[in-house]
Amino acid sequence: MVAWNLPDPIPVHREPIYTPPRPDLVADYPTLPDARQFRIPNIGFSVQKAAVDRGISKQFPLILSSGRLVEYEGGGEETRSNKWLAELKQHMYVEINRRDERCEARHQGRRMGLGKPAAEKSGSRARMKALVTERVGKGVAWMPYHFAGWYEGATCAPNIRKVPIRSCSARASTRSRPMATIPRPACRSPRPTLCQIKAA
Amino acid sequence: MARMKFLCDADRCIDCNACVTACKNENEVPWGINRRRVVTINDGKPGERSVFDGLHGIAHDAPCAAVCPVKCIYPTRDGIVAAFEGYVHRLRLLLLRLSVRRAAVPAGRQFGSRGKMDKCTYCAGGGGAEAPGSAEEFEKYGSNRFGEGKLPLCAEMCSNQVVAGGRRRNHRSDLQRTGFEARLWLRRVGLDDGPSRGRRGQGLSERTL
Repeated sequence: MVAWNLPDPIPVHREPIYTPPRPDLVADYPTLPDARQFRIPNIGFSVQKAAVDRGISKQFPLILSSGRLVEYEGGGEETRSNKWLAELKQHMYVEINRRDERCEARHQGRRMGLGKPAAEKSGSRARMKALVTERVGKGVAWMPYHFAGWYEGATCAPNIRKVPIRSCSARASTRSRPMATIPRPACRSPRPTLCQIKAA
Repeated sequence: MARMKFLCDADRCIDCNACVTACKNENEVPWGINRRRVVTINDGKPGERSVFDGLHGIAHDAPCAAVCPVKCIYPTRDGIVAAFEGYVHRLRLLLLRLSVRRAAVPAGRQFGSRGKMDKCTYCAGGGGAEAPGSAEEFEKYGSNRFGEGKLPLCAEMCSNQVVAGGRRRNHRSDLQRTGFEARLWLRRVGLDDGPSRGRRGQGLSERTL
């Protein structure tokens, strides 16, 4: 099938905006050129090039991915508000490999700070607990995308009329993502990126 | 008299916690107290599996029933291990008299969501004097689905047929079948069966389950 009205009529591989240290891959499979899509400036190409030039993956050595927990769905607004479901997973966490030396202090349940390339200068970090397993490979960190309720280091609870289960709020995973957009729908494409994890 | 059974096949469990949620919703079990739990062991390693805890509504020779000094936990004729709240109070008094620490049966604490204790009842209500299906019974013991001819909600809810409830059937070929085939077969018939007070249970032994 050919999607004639998309930039890639047939899907092709393109490296994420922030990629692991493989400049050759970025050279072969760059993201789409900078453009303005509707009202949104998409500067993915510039960001990707600058990241490779600066060697951002030295400072942010881990690949960050996210996914769904079976108890929750979507942003988790409905499912975390259900007391039976909220009890099952009460904390935002990042899952890291037991033997991954790129993560500091790999202790089960420890509070970690997750830094993103876009906040390189400010050094701001998302706080979440560590789940240390062997399920994720070395060099990869994983987190659920159902949590929200903290923004820029402060809780959003005062702005919400009713906070059903306060303990289940955390910083949203999308805040640790690059501002990359898929060109045609002009929506964010935040799945793969890099991060650094330090003990909080 | 049929003997009611839970059948669990942990190999099929995907850790979705639907049974846990269904149980809590059906019986109004509060935050922090579980009649039913799914525990993942070897999390993230090869050989990871989920195990079940809390299916204590059914047991063959239930040890809790055996040790209960006032018989507030006791097996019924259906093979269900029932609880009778009225006796639990006597148990507390007895424990106090024996200078056992009060924490043994704390009211309103870990095991005391319903006053004194809480346990899986196979969704069969309680063994007290309350009318089956009444509000008083629900308040003390939780839902009485069994009395309505229904199986426990965790077993009914399980989308992967990990947990199955039903009565143990009398079938000569049960004894010849072993292992997985028998489990599959029993699960199938168990799922189709409602609680019944029909025939004498003389089926598959515990070992082959």
